[in-house]
Amino acid sequence: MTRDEIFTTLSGYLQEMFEVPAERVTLQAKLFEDLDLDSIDAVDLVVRLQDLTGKKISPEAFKTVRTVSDVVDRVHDLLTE
Amino acid sequence: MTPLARLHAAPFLPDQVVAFRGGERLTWGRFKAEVGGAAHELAACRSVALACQDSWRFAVCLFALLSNGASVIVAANTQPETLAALAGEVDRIIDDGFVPSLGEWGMAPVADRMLLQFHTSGSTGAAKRIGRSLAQMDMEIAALESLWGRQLAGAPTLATVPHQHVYGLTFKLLWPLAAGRPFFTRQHDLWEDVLADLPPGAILVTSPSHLTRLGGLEPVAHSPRLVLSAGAPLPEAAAAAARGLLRVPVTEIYGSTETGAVATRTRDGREGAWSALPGYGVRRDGAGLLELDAFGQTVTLADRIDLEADGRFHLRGRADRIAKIEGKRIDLDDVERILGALEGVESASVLVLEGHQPALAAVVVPSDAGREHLDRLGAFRFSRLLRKAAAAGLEPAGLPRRWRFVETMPMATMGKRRARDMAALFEDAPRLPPVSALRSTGADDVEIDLQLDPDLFWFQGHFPGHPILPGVVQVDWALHFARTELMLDLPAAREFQIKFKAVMTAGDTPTLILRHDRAKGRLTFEYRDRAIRYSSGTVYLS
Repeated sequence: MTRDEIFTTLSGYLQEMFEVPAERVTLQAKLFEDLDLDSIDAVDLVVRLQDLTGKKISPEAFKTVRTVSDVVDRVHDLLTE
Repeated sequence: MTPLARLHAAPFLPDQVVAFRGGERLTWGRFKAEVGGAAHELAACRSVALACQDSWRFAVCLFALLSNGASVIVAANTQPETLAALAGEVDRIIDDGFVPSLGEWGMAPVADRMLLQFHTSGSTGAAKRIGRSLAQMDMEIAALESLWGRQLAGAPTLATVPHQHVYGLTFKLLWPLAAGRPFFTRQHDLWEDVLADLPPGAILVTSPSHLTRLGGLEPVAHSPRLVLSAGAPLPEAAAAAARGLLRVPVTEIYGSTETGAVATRTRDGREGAWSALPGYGVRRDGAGLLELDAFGQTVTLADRIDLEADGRFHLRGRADRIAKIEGKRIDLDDVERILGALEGVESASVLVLEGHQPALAAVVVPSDAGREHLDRLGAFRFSRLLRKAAAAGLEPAGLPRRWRFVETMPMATMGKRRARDMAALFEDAPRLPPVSALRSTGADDVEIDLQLDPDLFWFQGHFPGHPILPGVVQVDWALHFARTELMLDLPAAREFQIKFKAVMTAGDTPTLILRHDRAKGRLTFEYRDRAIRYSSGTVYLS
C-alpha cells in the first residue's frame, strides 16, 4: 500500500467510525485538537488499523501520534517492516 | 371488602354502580348477569386470550372464564401481531366485539390455580410469561385495603395505564371490584380527557409516561384522593410538577409482574425510602438483592436494595444492569446517573450493544443548554464533550462508545424503557452496494453492474457538492462480493493494492469485475464502464 492508499483508507475510517467530515481529514489535521477524537477513539482506531495491517500495534507505538500524517507513517512502517 | 374468590356472592346491592362507561352507569346486578351469561357461552373454552380494551368487558370475561376454571392469557396489547402470535395456543381470542347474553352467576371463580397469565414488559430483555392465581391477587388486595381502604371508601378510579398489565389490572379493576368502588371502563390516554372526567376525590392510576408530560396544564379544581404511579421511577421534577397540578403528592408503587405491588412511598418533596405493604417482609440477601416474604412464600427480585434500620429500603438498580465491558464490571445505572447529572443532559439511558465486542452506548435527551451545543458542534463533537465531562466520574470502560441524541426517550407503556427500543436507535440502515445486474462469468469470476445514485450513503460529505466514491468503499465492495458471490472466506487482516485512474461520481454506472486467482492466491478487481477504467486492485489472500 502506498502512503496515498493508506491515507484514503484512514480517511474512510475516520469518516465512518467518528463521523469526521471528509474535508477536515488532511495530513496536517491533529487527531485530538482538530478532529475532536479522544483517547478512547484512538484505541478503537488502533484496533481497526490492526485489522487492516494484520499486525499487532502496541498502544506505546501510538502514543506519539499527533496528526493524520503520523498515523499514515506508522501504518506504512508496519506494512514495510 | 369481598375477596375476589367469592365475588359471585358479594353483598353489593343490585343497583350499586360498578363502572362508568361514557354517561352510562353500569351496576352490580348487570355485572353478575353478564358474567353468568358469558360463563355459559364460553363453557367450552379451556384457554382464552383476553384482548378487551373496555375494562368492564374485560372484567366480565375474566370472572366468567375463572368461574369455568379456564386459563386466561392477558394479551399484552391488542396489536394484530400480538394476537396472531397468541392465536395458535388458545381456544379463542376475545375482544370488545364479544357481547355476552345475560344469565345467572352461580359458580365461584377458581382461585387456587395459576390461571392468570401475564406478560412482563421486557425492560431488560425479552418479555416473559408469568402465571398468578386469584388467591395471590386477593392477598395483595387485602394488603392494599388494610393500608388505604378506609380513606378510599367509595372513591371512583380512573386510569391512564392499561388493565392488561398487572399494575393496571390490580389497581384499576380488581381492587375496586373487591372494595365496591366504581371504575371508568375506558383507559384515559390524554391529560385533557383525564382532567375533564376526573370526579372529586378520585383515585388516579397513572405512570411516569403521563406524569412526565404535564406541560401547559392548569391545576385541578378538586384534588384526587390518591395519585398512584408505577412502572418506572418517577423523576423528582415530574413528582414536583404533579404535586402542583394535582394538589396531592404522588404515591409510587414498587413491584413486579411476578409479585404484584410490594412497597410504596409518597413523593412529598424528596425521594424517600420505600415501605413494604402491611404483612410483607423485605430483606437484603447475600448478593444485595431484595428478598420478599409474602403470603408464606419467599421470592428474590432482580433489584438491589439497601435497608434502613426501620426496615424501609432504597432501590439501588437492577441486578441485570451490571455489564461486563473489557473485563470490567460496569453498573449501567451508575453510568446513567453520572451522564444524567451532566450540564448538557436532560436524561440518559445506557445499554450494551452486542457486537464482536460488547460496547456501551448512550441514548441522550439533551437539556436546553445541551441542545445549543448539539446544534453548534454536531453530534460527534458534542458526544466527545459529554464523554470528556463524564470521564471525571467514570473509568474508561464505563464511558459510552456510541451516542444517539433524541428529542424524547423511547418509552413503552407506563414509562418503561425497553432494551430493544434503545438498541433499535443504533441499528444502521443496511448499506448494501447498489447492484443493477450480476453475471457469473465462471466459478471464480463475477461481474456486477452498479448504479451510483446521487443519494447514495457513501457520497454524503465526500465531498459536499463533489460526490466521489471513496477508495476504501471500492475495496470494501470488492471484498463484499468476493464473500457473497465467490464464497471466499476472507479474514479481517489482509493486504491490498489499489490504483485509481479516474474518479467515480454520482450518476456513473460502473461494472465491478472480480476474479479469484487460485494459483496466485489473490483476488483482483476492476471498476470500469466500457472504455473508462476507474480503478483496479489486488487483495492478497494468503
